[in-house]
Amino acid sequence: MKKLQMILLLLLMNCASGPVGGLLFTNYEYAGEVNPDSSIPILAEAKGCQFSLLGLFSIGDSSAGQIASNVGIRRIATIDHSTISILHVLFVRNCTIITGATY
Amino acid sequence: MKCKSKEVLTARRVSFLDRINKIYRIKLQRFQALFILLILINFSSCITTISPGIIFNNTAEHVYKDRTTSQLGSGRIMKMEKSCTYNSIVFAFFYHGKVASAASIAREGGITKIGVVDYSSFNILSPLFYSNCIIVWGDIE
Repeated sequence: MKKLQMILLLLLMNCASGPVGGLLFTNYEYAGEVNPDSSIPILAEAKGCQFSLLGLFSIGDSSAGQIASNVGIRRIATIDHSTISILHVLFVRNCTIITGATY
Repeated sequence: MKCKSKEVLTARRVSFLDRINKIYRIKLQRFQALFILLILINFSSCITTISPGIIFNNTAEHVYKDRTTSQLGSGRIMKMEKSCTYNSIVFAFFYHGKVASAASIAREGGITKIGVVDYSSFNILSPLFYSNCIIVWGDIE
């Protein structure tokens, strides 16, 4: 029973949102989305994060639209992500990084 | 006398084994409680967030429904319009709150060109009360 539980735990290790996740520590960036309109120049960059503690409390705004609005990016060219997690669910930080034009 | 001492010994052994059994049961129960908690964390996906909080969650993020459709458009980030669904496990089987498509949200807010579609999630003691919102940013011209 314990073995089965451990296997299930390993299979369910998906709290880090990226393609891979480390059980003890995770820190990397990964690609999200590129605007189909390729004429948008990359003139500015902004980042927004959300934080999770023990999987019990989560707060933060990492929505692309809000981040763009905060820094004055009018058209989004790319959306990327970064994640940091310590001890799987003890602390997780998921960020959205956007680039785009300010006009 | 011999019979009595044997009885006493067997009684002691039984009580000792009982104690071990109790301790083992408590430890097993603790482990199972932790296991159930972790399962809950992974299955608390009534909300769309990438890092759900079981007790309290108030997050907004860019979520990908699938990789075949883009959630970015050529519209400028000028105006935001939001549509939310509210639900609870108490009545989830009977009712699911207001649901709106990105197009209808944009139409309601007078957005003519969609710039980006985001999601926000809120819950208290998930899944006792949870709310998902679709946020549409776009151009009003």
